[in-house]
Amino acid sequence: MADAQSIPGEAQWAAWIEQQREALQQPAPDGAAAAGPFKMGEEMLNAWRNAWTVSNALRVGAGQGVADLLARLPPIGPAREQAAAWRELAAIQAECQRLEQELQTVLMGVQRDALELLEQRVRERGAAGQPIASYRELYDLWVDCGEQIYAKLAYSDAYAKLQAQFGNASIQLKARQQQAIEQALKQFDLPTRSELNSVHLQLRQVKQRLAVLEQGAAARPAKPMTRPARSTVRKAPAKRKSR
Amino acid sequence: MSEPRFDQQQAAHDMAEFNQRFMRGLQALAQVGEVQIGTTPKDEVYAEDKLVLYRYRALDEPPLAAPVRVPLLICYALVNRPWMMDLQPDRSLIRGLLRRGVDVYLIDWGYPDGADRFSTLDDYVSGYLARCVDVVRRISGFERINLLGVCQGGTLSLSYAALYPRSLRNLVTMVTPVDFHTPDNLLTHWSRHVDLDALVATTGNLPGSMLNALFLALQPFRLTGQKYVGLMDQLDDPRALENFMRMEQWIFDSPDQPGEMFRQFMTWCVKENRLMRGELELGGRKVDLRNVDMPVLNIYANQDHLVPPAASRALERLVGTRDYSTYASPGGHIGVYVSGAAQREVPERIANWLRARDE
Repeated sequence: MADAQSIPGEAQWAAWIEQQREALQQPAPDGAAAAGPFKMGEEMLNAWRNAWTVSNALRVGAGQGVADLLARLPPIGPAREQAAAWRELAAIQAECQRLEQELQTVLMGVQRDALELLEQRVRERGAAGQPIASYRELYDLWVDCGEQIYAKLAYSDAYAKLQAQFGNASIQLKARQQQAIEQALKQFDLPTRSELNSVHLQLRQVKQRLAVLEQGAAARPAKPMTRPARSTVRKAPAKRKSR
Repeated sequence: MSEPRFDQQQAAHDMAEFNQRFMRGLQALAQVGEVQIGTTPKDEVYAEDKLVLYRYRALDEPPLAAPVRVPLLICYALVNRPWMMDLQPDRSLIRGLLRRGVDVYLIDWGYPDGADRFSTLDDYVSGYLARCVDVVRRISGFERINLLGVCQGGTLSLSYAALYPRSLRNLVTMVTPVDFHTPDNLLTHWSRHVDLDALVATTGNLPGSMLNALFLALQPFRLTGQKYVGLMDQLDDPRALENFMRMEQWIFDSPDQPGEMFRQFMTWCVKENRLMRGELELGGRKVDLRNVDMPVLNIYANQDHLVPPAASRALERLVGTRDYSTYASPGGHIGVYVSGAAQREVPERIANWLRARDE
């Protein structure tokens, strides 16, 4: 039975490893050969690690390359339409996220600049002998600074473009999502927004035609609204002339 | 320069006081309950699709001035509900007009839905608005009536006045955009690069919530934060709290914009500034503001961040009338209806101006 004292514990192992590491890091007194097997082992280990890293990078790179290539290939086969739709959806979603991130960064810049301006204003107030007297006053001053910085950004062409780009991308994303949902609804023979639109459009056209007809009818000379019942208009049969 | 310092004790006191007020405020808010807006008595006199035309009843009090004989039809915007004109009894432009003997009609556009998504700008001007004018003419017996257009409703009213000048005796425009390309018009600036065709094709009607977000984005620090922090100052005043809640209810009660109408309005009027340039056509007819030959009163707000004063003032050099008046109200886009100064001034000016042209 092994004595508990003779089995190295975790701390002992750690100490041993550290000892070996320090030994490996000692400069060789007379060349590499003098480092013995430890030095050679370290070089081998490094070579193996480098090779693994490079191969892994190549593998990941190649995988990504293949994925990129596949993404650029035109979809083929019976599910071609669906594949193309989903691919467009994924692409516009990625674009949306990118633009949203860009917009967030710009707006974070407003917060940062507002704080800098706030600091400047607080110092100015202090120097003018009108120090900030309460949190509320500080808050209101921060709001003023924020609106001032934001207004400068809001009126810039760059921001208007970025905001519109994000909005336009969001619209495209929603349109693609609608298409996907409509496709699914059709599988179950459920009505879609496109069909409803079609009905609304037809109703509108009917209403317009009715309005034109009503105007035309109103413009014509008045006629009896209802034709009298046949029995009342039928003339009595002419009396046969007596022969 | 010395570093600014905060009084620690003062800061702690502020925070404690704020917390107490906040808790009191929550309790006060919970007791406000339901608030009512647009309560001045009125009767429905015409309805079509989502639209309802109301006629306001005369008040049970003697008018402050001689009655104005010719009725006044108010054409509100399709953005938000028309109750801003009658927010509460003591802040009501409509009540102010009734008190001064004006016979008031109001168009409530309702809540457009999917069935309205293909309604055009022309449908609103030559259709709904024109039919409401006809109804008021028929009820009142006057061949020509007075029309008051508000904001986007003012743009519709101007278009109507240009196309059907013989139906109007007087025209009043309030915070009405005419020149959409003034440099301080942020909404136009932002819309320049937006693909409106794709937007409307995708959303159908433009969601009111989307418009709300846009309006809040004009002044985000003030409108999404400071406004509510400022509420803390009113928490001890139940009446002020109710006023706040009424305004809040009005602001976020936002109908959707009929899709095609919105697309045409934004593209033709906002992006391309066609009304200003005399290039707007509705139903195959040119909307030429030189045809607006009836007396015009143009009311705008000096600190309007939605419709900058210059956007309204441009009207003066476009209309054909020789009887053109303006009134610059102090305050912003909403203050022109509800601020204390506006309550005293605006209905009085409108009523007096109409009375002087009542023939």
